[in-house]
Amino acid sequence: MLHSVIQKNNYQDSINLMLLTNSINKLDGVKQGQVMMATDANKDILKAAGLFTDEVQGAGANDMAIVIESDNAEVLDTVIEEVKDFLSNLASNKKEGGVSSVDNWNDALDVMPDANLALFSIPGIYAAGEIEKALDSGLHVFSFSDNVSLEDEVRLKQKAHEKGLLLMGPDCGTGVLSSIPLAFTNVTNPGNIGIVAASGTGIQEATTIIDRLGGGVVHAIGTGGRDLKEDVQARTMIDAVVALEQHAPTDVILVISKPPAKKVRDNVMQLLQSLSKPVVALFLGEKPEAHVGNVSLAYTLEEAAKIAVDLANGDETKANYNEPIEFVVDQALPEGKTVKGLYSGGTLASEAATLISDALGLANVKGEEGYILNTQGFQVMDLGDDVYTQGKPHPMIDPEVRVNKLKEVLKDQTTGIILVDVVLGYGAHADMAGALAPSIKAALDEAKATGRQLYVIGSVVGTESDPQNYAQAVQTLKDAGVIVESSNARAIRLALKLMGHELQVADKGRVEYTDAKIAVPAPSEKVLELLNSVPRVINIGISSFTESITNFGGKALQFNWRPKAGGNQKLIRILNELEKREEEINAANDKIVGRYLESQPFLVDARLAKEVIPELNTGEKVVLHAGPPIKYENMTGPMQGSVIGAMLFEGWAADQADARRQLENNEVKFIPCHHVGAVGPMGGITTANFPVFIVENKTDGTTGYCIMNEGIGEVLRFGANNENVINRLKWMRDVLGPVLGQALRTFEEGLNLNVMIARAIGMGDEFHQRNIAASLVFLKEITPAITTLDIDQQSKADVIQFLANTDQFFLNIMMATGKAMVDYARKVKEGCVVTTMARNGENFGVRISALGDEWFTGPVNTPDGLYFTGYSAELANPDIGDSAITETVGVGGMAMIAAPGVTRFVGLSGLDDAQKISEEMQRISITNNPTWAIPNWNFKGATLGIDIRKVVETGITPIINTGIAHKEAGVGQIGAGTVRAPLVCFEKALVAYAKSLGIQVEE
Amino acid sequence: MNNHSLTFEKAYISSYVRQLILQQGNIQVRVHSIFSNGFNLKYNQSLLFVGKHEESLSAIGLAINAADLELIQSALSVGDPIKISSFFSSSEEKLSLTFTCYTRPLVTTAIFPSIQSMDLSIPQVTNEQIRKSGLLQLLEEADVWAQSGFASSQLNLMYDNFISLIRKGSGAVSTTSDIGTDTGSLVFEKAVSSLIGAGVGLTPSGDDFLQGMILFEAITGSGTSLKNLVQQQLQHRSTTDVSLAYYEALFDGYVNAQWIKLCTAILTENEQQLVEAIKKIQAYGATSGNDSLVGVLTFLKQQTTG
Repeated sequence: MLHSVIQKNNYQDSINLMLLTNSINKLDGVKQGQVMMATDANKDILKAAGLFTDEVQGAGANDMAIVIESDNAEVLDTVIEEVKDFLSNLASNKKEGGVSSVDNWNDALDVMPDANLALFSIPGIYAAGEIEKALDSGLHVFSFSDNVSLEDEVRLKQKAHEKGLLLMGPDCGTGVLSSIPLAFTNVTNPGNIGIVAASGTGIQEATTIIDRLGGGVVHAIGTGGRDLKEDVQARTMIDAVVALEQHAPTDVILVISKPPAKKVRDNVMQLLQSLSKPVVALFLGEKPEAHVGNVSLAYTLEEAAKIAVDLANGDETKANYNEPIEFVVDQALPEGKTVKGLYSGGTLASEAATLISDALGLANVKGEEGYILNTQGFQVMDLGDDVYTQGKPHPMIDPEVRVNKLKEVLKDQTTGIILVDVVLGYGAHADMAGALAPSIKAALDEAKATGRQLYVIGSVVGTESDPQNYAQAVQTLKDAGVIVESSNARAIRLALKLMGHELQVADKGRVEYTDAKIAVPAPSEKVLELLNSVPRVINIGISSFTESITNFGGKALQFNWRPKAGGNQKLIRILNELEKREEEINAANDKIVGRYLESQPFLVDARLAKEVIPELNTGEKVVLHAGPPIKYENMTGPMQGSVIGAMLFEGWAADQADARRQLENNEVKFIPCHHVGAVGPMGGITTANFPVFIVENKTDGTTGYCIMNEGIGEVLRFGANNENVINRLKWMRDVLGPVLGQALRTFEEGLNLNVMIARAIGMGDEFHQRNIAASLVFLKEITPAITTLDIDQQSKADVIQFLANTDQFFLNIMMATGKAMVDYARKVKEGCVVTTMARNGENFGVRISALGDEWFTGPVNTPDGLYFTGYSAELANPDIGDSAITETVGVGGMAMIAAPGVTRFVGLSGLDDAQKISEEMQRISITNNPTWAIPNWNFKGATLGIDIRKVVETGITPIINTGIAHKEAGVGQIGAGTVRAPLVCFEKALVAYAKSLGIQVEE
Repeated sequence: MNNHSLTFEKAYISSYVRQLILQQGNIQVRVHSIFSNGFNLKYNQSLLFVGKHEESLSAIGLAINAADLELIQSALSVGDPIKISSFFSSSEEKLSLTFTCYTRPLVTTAIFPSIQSMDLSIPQVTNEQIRKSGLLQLLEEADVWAQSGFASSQLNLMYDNFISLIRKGSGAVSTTSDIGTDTGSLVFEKAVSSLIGAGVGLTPSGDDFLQGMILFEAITGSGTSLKNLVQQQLQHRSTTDVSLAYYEALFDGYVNAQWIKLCTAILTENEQQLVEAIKKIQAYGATSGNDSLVGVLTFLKQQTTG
């Protein structure tokens, strides 16, 4: 039976998830399991594995899906605990490593302004765009990421070249810069050999042999496997080689290439021949008969390494590096026996295929995908190929693929020899030899028992300085019965010797290079700087890649990258298009934000709603409600309860049944508050005789209205509508409203709300969940005015007492303030700044500056928080109310840091959590409002201007502080907490905005 | 953040090392060992010592000023490869050297644009000049024995054994010049062999002792018997790399600068300088200088008694 859990917005990189998958599969009771980000591609993998569930179906690309097959549902709890432990260990490891981390480019460049290299290990589909950003930021690039299109590679390499930067990769698994190992790399001695190679295990084999011979490597620059293709024109190789020519510590240049395009090879050869430094070159697939001019040509990685060491020591090249294989072969394997190469390293597999084909005279036939050689029973497999690793870790990390393949090839009775590699170094399995040994030993034991002639031959790619122990790895393999050779080439040669085909390599002399030489181009200053300095690396992706960098003296900054727009390709394209118009859009947004900043909200009056809102003074039964438009039948319980209460209050209905009948007969007209210059908390229900605050934005006279706060407990805004509620509303209509209106009118200009807000924010209010300071400031301002009024003392006393009792009284004033600000800004129809956020219990609605009154909606989320005794989350009404106007203008959840105590409503606590939330909100905001400076935030102003581009790009949605209503009408407030605005509203707004700019949007 | 490039205007090189470098052009070495007063570089089977102060220039080394040495040493670790590139201007008779130190994460380049050579070939001094200089007496006054490694009971026994072996062969081996005789060789072979590599430290006391004796054998022109015997015994007996390097220089006719100063003081009959030179030699290592001087003292006594 399948069990699944979706962890929303928990993005982890694929390597971590693969390791995690390994880990949960080892748990008792788990038949099979998988932990993946719920991207479409991964959903396909889960389907194929029989691990697809409804929960997975509903999950998004930013959600982590944990799926297991188990007979025992309780096993899932153990799995979740394991996931939690694993991920928290990663976090603590990161901390211990002392590497700071960021999650966006701006922060990365701020934290490490002197960065000179971006190391990418993110999914290929996103890599090209991010690589381009790195290049545009003046960074050299090391792209471990693969699956970048050839077209992108050509374009990006050209761009890098034009900027004087080096693009190493894509699909650059290995590298060494200033003797610091990068990505999947061995720790080799520093020295005077500089390498430029396709990368991967080619570099690893060459560098480790160099190390074991006593030589050293200063740089090993990976080019990616396609660099010498016709399209790419060896762009990276040429730029790297000319820089090494000028790099004083490099004495010998070693070049390793996958089979190159002829013309490109000739061009590269011409350059190499024109250098002043000696060069060793290995073009895989070629069997050179002589060294040519300045270039010593090698046949195998081992030979290339040995020549390089000789030249580095100032010695001449030897005629032959093919030292004899000591293993004594008494009797070769009989005709018909075959060799199977089970490689984790692609270049090592290529080398095996080449040598075996050459020696046995086989056509180098690849056949089906995943085989480097597959002919007449001879097979060489690169088990790191996508065909074997889809959804599984690379065989350098995980032995599973190879162990299974081993069993498979043993079934083929022709199999006489199995070739394996064990690659050590950073990134590789902690003990791959130990992980493979039991299977190999079992195979050899069984062969011995059945009289089958079987050899397993291996080599270990590693050094004594690697995190794993080279000598131990060799011994482990030997103990398992593996014949271990000192290089891959020697392992293959031994295999061939056992087949009765000893590989002969003739002595090589040196012939002159007869073609013309060229003037070696001047290297880029930036590349020379890279080669002559300590790497300062922004590591985008797999966090463990920082380890080798910092261990060996480099600088690293971890960039916890997440795919833009949750990996949604359509939105990514839109964002990229918008990025091209960034200047124009930013200028438009600045106008909107400028309007927010120049707003002068004053509380000037309080009147009956019908006196200021014409739509409520038509004689019809008109009800204003919170959020975007909604039909009565779709309203949740509290809103319906509020409507009924309002009808009873207005005297439109004799009782609840009468009210319901009228509503069902469509006798009541509904209008969103926002459409008539008003806002309303929770249900937002406002009718003609509700007293409303009038806030005037003195900048141009724009007004904002909001009903008054009824206090807590059984109140209309939460759907309560009993007699007490109605009586209070009547008192508010007859006493509270008129008294406050009269008092406010005694002020010549009204009350300056910017001043009141600025005071209260310094006293710990964020104006959504906490308004006690602002309410007191209001009380302080209004009380003297009330006392001067010519009204009865009881009314004065009642009003003042009510204000003193109502901690949240200022919330409604703040809401009217927000409305007066956004409606002033909304007069400029440009840009993509959020001008409204409101919820009606069914949908969350967003409006943006350029698109005026158009709502972009999505189903609301249900708040999470603390509940009054006797209530729980199951009883909570979905998110509701116009009070998110506070977040729209930068307070409420956006200003959590101003009121750290509010974080306790969602199980967080204290200043740090509050700051994290505000810092997060800062990332989707355009600027800060210095008028509302927050002392806890070093007097930084509240965030201001939510930019939908930032929301969609980061997937960070505004956090709304809110009260929680009971889902049934009449019960009222049952708790308070926070809720996230749904991303979909912002995504829809982005699409519409793009269309409004004439950007073609694919549907 | 860029590769370190350090230039040192003032530097000295032993004529012995200069010769080696000029022969080889560029050489690849590795940092062998690092001490407070300098570091050793391993080249094939030889060592080069980079130390401080010209007056302490080693036969196998270079000397730079103390602050410069500290600067280079701070970047080095044992095992680091270093490429030494040389350029010799025959018109100016000027040798310049560049040390490219493959340190991680930055390559450190030390440039010596004009390195001054010091002739450290072993000078010739007659027995008469030595006698006149009062060296024997000064060494006894300097209390070299008590401060040497031979003061320890184990080496003391070894030393006594060495002396008794000589004495056993009395008549046959009364001085080192008699070693060449058949009987002398047999006796002395054992004595020498026991001293090679004997003692603790980078240069074991036994080696320092033998080197002191061989040096004075060479200075006084008393033949090459001891040298030949030690050379022969070194084929079978192991000692430290550092001792081997000094044996090698000595066999090739080179010695540390301080010994040259001692010889100059003998030749100029300048007692004050002689005392000073003895003190400086005594300051070598923990006991090394005194061990060598015990060798000298023993040689001189043998000469006298013989």
